[in-house]
Parts: sequence; structure tokens; C-alpha cells
Amino acid sequence: MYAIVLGCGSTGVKISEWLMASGAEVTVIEKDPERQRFVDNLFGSVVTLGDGTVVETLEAAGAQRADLFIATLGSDEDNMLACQIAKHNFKVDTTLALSGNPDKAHLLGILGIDIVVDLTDLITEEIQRIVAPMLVEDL
Amino acid sequence: MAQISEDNANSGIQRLKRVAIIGCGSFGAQIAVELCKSGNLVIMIDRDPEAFSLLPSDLIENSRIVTSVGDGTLETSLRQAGVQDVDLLIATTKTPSINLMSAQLARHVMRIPEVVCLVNDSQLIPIYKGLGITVINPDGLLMDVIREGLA
Repeated sequence: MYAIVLGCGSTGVKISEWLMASGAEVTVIEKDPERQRFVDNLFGSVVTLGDGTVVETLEAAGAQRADLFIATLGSDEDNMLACQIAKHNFKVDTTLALSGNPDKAHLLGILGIDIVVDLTDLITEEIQRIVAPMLVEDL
Repeated sequence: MAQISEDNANSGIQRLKRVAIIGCGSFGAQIAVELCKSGNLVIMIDRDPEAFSLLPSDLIENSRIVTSVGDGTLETSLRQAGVQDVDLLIATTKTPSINLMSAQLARHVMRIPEVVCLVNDSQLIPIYKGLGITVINPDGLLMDVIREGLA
């Protein structure tokens, strides 16, 4: 399994770490040289420096042979664009995008992103799960 | 909106096209004015109400350009602006991914017949052509003109 993770934020780093521990070959794309050095020191040279919404960067990261592409940038729009390039230009099997906006998460699903993780939904559910028992006790 | 329809009926020329423009930057504003000059009606959408100051005030006063503050990548914003009835949408913000999301929302969710999107990256043209979006590369066009001038 060859996976590309876009974005070296805390989520991107955690996901990459887990993928590597699970035996996947991982390349991370990051455009900030300082973050690149940080993550390269952490995992060995796994980072391709560049803008993940540009065809050349995905090519340099080896997208043509990737099975999985995970976009973890803070912008839903950039995650959409990167996943669509991965899907349509490089025929990556599975594209996954994080989304911070429920309306946009819905749209990403319609636009062909294979898996969309709606962070608002996820966090709301978790908070509900924790808070719900407290509400019952109150009654 | 009703007022625009009356203008439309009274103008006497062929049916006016309604055009939505996302992003009231220098590009968007210029396109809006040109489309108005050729008799079309324009809905201009921008997140920043101050951006509309780039538009000639007479065109806003006589409702040839209708402005709407909103996020061009959200269906609610587009519907609020009346975009569901337009013949053409042009996405002209300075962020390529926002233009592409807005364009695909318009084309594939709201079923706008023609959608054009400005992106300074010619490598994206074939990808989005396949997805029903016309991508125009302004930098590429400029380079063509410069090359022709030098030839």
C-alpha cells in the first residue's frame, strides 16, 4: 500500500505515523520548508516539498503509483482540488479529504471525493456522547 | 429580482442573459461592466461588501448589476443571490481552489448551463474540462500575447 498524505499539520503527522506503523509506504506533501525539516527528522526523509494543489508536486510525490491520497489541509477548497487532481490526473484509487465545514463536506462527497471526514460532525458527536449522560443525571 | 425581469422585458433586444460573477476583484468587476455594456444582467457575489466599490455606481443604481454579499462556495449564498436562474456563472476570485469549488457547485448541484472559472494553471484545464467546467488561464493568455508580440 502506497499512501500520500497532504499537509504536515498535527492531523497529517498523526495519520502518517499510524499509516507507517501499519506497514504502508508513506510520502507526505508539505509546502513549508520548516515543517518539512521537522517531519523529515521525525520519520526519515518522507516529505516532498511543494504545493499539493499543483500537478507537478503530486507527480514528484509519486501519485501515479499511489493507492490512497489523504488531504488534511485547513482549506476545504484546497483539499477538494488536491483530491480531484489525484483522482483524475493520477487515477489514485481512494481519495480522502478532511472538511471543517458541514456544507462543504456534503459538496465534496457529491464532487467525487471517495471519503469525506466531516470534522464538525465528528466533534459534535463526540461531545454529545460525553455530555448526554450528564444531562440524564440532571433529570 | 422582479424589477430586473421588467427591465428585461422592456429592453426590446433579444433575451438578456443573466450572468453570475463570483469575486469582485479587478477581473470580476471589469467582466461585469463589459457584460452590462453588451446588454446582460449581472449578479455579483463577494464575501467583502467593500469590494463592490470597484463597480460603477450607476450600474448598481439601475440594477444592471445586483450585488450580494456571500460565500461563492456555499449553495445557500448562491441561492440567496438568485444564482439558480442564471445562464452563466464565472468564478474570478484570486484563489484557484475556491473558483473550482464554486464552479462545480454551480454546474453539478445547481445545474447552471455554462460555468467558466479563472485558474492560472493550464495543467488543470483538461481535468476540469472532463468535469464540465471551462477553465481559462489568464496568465497563459497573457504569455501568448507577449510571445506573439515578440515573434
